[in-house]
Amino acid sequence: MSAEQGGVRPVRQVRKRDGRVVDFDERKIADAIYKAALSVGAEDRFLAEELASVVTLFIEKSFAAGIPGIEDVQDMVERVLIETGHARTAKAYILYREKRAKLREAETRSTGPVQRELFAPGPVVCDDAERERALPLDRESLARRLGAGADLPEGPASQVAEAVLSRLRELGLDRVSGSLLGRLSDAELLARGMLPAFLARGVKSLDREGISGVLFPKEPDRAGVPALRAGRALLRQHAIEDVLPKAVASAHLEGRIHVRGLSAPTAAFAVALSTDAVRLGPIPGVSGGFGPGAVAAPRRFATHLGRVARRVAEHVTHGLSFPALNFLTAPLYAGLGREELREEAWHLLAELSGAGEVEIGLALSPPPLLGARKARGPGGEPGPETYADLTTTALGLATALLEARGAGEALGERERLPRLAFTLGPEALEDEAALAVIGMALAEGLDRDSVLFVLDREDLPLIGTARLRARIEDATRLTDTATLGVTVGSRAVVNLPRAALRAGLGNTGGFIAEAEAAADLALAGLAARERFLRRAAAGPDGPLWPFAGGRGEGARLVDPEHAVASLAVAGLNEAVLLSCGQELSDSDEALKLGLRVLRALEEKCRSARRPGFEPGLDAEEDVALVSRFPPLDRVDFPSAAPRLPAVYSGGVGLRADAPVDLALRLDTEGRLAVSVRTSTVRFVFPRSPRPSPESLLALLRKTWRNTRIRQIAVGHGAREWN
Amino acid sequence: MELKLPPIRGLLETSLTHWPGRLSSVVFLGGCTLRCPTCPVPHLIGWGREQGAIPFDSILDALYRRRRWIEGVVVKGGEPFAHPDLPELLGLLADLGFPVRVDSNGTRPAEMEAAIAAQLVDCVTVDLKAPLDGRYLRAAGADVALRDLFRSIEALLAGDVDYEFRTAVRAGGPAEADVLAIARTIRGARRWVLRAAGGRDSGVTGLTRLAREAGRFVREVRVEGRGMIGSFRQAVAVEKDGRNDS
Ligand code: SF4
Repeated sequence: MSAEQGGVRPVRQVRKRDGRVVDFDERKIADAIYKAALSVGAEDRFLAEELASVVTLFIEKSFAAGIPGIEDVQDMVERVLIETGHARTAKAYILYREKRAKLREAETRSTGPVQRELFAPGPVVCDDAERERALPLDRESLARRLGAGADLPEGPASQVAEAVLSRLRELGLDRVSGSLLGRLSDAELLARGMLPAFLARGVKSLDREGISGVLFPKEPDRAGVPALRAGRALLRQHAIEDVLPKAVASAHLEGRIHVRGLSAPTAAFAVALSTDAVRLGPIPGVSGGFGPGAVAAPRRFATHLGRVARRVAEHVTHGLSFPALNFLTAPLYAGLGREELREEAWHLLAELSGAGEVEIGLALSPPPLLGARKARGPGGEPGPETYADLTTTALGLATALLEARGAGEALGERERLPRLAFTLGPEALEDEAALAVIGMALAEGLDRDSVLFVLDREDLPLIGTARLRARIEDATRLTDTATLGVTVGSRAVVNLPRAALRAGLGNTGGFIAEAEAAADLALAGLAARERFLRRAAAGPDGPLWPFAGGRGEGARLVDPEHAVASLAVAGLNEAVLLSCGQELSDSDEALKLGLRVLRALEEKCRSARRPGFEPGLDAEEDVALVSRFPPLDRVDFPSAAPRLPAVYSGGVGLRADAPVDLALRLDTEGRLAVSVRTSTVRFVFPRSPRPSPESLLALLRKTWRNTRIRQIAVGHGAREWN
Repeated sequence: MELKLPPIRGLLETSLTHWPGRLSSVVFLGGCTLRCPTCPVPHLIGWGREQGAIPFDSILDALYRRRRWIEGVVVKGGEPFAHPDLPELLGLLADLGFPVRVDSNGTRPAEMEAAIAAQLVDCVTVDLKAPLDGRYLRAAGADVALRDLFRSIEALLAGDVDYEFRTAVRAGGPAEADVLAIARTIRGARRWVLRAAGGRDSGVTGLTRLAREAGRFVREVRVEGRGMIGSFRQAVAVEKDGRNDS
């Protein structure tokens, strides 16, 4: 027999506080009771539904003639809970009502809606230093952690997890560090007398789950030798907790910024080595160099260079480059025939493969400040010829390296081979011999692998990592045997879409302010990292001491006076879209917003500069790194998640499939490249018909003339570069 | 007075492939004198004005925005020379300072010669679909006066304007003997482009061999298509070999 048939009118509606009448929903009562019960450690959904139906029954009886108010329903819930012997749940429920009332009060006072609700909270987020990201925390995941770390069975683990989460809510925290979470879990275990579980949790800095994650990584890119990975994980945790200032560390974990290379805090981000320094100066930790007077035969030189690269690579996280290698080493290769050159080139490549990310810089015309200098002969003494006189050999070596690399690729060795970066200036674009090499390089790019062209622009000051690849602005540096080259100590990346999300759609001023605030944090991170690097180089205990000239011998890798810091940006296109509703390619206004942000960050770099700390603005184009940001942004901005693309565009480039033709793309990216000097424009030709090398050459020339773009990558689209 | 221009049915703002060695914009006109069964642009061959046209102003605007990049405009069809108003369009493009190339099927020699004489074009290409006999009529899908084609070829061979003959080689297209027959017809030509069409991946290797053969008759043979870059060096070699024989 139904209630209606028995004379009790079923409750169908309820009046809200603002007077609106809405449908009565018994499930909502059950939810509220269940959440209140959970917060005190009980978790019986079925019971909650039973109690909710009792509440409904009482209401039907009491409000047969009218529509109950929300307060009436809530009063009834309390009464039922107390009368059915669920006092603790009732208490939690009362507490919940009080807090809701306070929140409502606050909401009416403030202009915007109050986000946080007691029983319907947004996800609590745990900043996990070991994984270098913020993870949403719920009862199940925390219980799993406790189960694994403290050997707790599922039931008690779940109860402890819920108690910890409710403690966090009481404290009003929706964001918590991994270590605080650990401490709260410990306190809860102790309070419940679970001493064995507490002891089982052991070392807190890298918990059991963390170590097991290190040993059995879920993400393939985190694979590697377990002991090395564990070491890196610990170093990263140390760097996040003890090297970076607190605010910087939490911005890093949140994904507002990303400080690179934290798992190797004593290593430099990137280094450009002078091949002269390698050839002539003793290198710390590497025996068998060429002292003054020793004749460097090409083969011996290649072996030595490989040894040095491998040694130095241990202290570099990102990349090692050898600018203008073909000119600086030309005296060694002078007089060799084409076949011999090819063979020597192959040895050079083979020796340099496996030393991490190595880039061989090949100048296609004599570098301006080097050309008129007397070239150092095989014995190290300046000979009768200038570097400019050795142009034919230098171009021959470049050709031989291209051919040898092509052959290496055919053998499937591509990943391990050093990359070739061609530096070209206006002279090279008019010189027939240089043009032949460029044509070959273009063909190589389209056929096999991406090739990088660096456009040598004298009128642009070189800062940041641009120094690694661009024109040799300082000939002394590259031929100075006392300094290995240029070091980029560290890089920190600003997640621009996050800045836009924090400011909200339509708030372009706020977006710029947020980007500046993130840049401040990133710069503070860079400064901290540079200090740490310097410390590592300052005394005999430091791992970089020998490379800083500490032993008084050989060339210096770390040169605090000349190291540069790199402030990089990623996702400008998506940030502009999130801020003003249009992409960079959509309108002039959108482009101008992008330019304003970049100028603001450039200014930040300028004003942060001081002796020994020289930050410059760069583009972060490492796909793996940039793809870390969207998932983190989704966690913190769930309501914006549907609008967020799966991937952000690298650096300041337009979306790869932006609806613009090549000319407009280059115009736009060219304007953005003025601020961000390391930004790379990619020409990718994945399908037929492919352009002829002459057409690509025309494109190179135009790009040279019409823009200030500094780097161009040409490829067939099968591989991402960074 | 309103401008009378041929109907512009399409615009490709930037192309790296239509005029090798240049960044070009491509203007597509509607209407063709032939009905090739393998036509890649069947939507362009009809003459009807009702098919609509892009206003020249917007073409002008697009070209102006790209003026720093574009090194030439390619006018394609259909058959551009079949439009009596073509000189007007070519004149406007020339006034804007763009070098102009017209891609023709060679069936309108008089109009072509007039445009060349008036210096309205910087380069003309003629697409040769088959040897100029019954095979051509089949390939063109229309009754064509073959003497018009011979006249177009002669005009280019004898004249000063830059030109290029083009032949698409596809499965079902001209056989090897056909290609050599075409080569003989254009003996002494400055440049002939053999295009691997219809996604013939492996075709380029065969084409390169064919190009070497054809190199006995013309000064430069180029091979275009998938994997073209790989054979570019070979094509250069052909160019050197070919010169001796011409
Ligand atoms: S000449 Fe060209 S446009 Fe005309 S039908 Fe033949 S293929 Fe198509």
